[in-house]
Amino acid sequence: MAGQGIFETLSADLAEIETRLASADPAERRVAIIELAESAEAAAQPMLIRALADPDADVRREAASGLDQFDGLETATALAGALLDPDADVAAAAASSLAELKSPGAAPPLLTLIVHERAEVRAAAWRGLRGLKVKPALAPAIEALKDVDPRVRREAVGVLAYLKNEAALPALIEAARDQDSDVRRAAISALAFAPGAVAAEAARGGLADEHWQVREAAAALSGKISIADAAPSLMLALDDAFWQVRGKAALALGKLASVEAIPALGALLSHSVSNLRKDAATALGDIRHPDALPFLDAVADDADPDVRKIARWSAHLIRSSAG
Amino acid sequence: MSFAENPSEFPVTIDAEKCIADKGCTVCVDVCPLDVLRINPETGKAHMRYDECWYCLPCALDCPTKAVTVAIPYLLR
Repeated sequence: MAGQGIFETLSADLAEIETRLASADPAERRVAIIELAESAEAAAQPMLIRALADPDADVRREAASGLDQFDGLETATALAGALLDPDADVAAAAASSLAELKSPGAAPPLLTLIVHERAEVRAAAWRGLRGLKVKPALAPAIEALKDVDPRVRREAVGVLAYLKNEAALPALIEAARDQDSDVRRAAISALAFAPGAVAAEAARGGLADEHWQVREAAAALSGKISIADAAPSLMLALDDAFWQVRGKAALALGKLASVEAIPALGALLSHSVSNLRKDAATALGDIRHPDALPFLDAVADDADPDVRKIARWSAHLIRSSAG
Repeated sequence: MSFAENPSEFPVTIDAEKCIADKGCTVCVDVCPLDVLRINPETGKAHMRYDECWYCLPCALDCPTKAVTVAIPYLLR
């Protein structure tokens, strides 16, 4: 990813950029920071880290954003410090860059912040730890599901989802019933690695949730792990008030090869939302039953080219499998 | 969405002499992101069914017999 950005920066230019970083004009320093970040060269990392101490908040924010190109302990330490910046935008940019970390070696400074007094700092630390998948985060993440702030609980669920450790299952099951809908949604999605019966129970509960994004996650989970007895609940979800839920339910019914769902899925092919028509056409192809062919052939001239293509492909799959 | 009905105005034209869709080729139909091309079941040749071309050109570039021509509007050249 080095050297191919808008500002085509080469190593030889870094010295010139460093000169501009000493400019009295914060706008000039900011542009220099952008060029540094665009270069993505290793030599730019310490310069960006130093810029986190710039007196101008915009320069610090740009430096924090630019560090998303870099990984490792030094970057994590610097960004962890920027989380405590007095400017909220700088802290938010640091949190966003922390989420891009992948190296397990970046974990130590983040693990020190998971008990910080400010909830947004704790949440950002957990968000940064998610992609690192480090075992020492397991027990604290389970404990963090009891945090008073839902943002922290939500990010801790994300860490547990990445760790996929069975020790976290009881806490994730509990989180699927959290008072905050975003925590419930994340927990239900995270349970995809759970044994079938556990995930099925979470999906059933989620499909009846009052919040549509939780129902959507539950429908997606039902399809992802092919919960065989979820078909009746998913059929009901095809009438959900939110098309996003209906779409995920349709896809799940396709994964379950539910022949009973064909008429309802066929009816969705005339829905005004083209994304829903696409999901229904995909599901009918997954079911691979000739009863779906009249529905699919009827949308051969659909206004949306993706619907036309998927319907044609699904019909091809059905006709091919019929021999 | 409108059907392509007047051949003289089609941005995508297919040379029926070169087109080998009747031999099973569906390259132009498959690569079109707007899905505007079809194989005519009567002639066995590809044709433009929907008048929605983006002038993105994979149909012309990928056609194994160079049967597809895309007339790019003057202002887009």
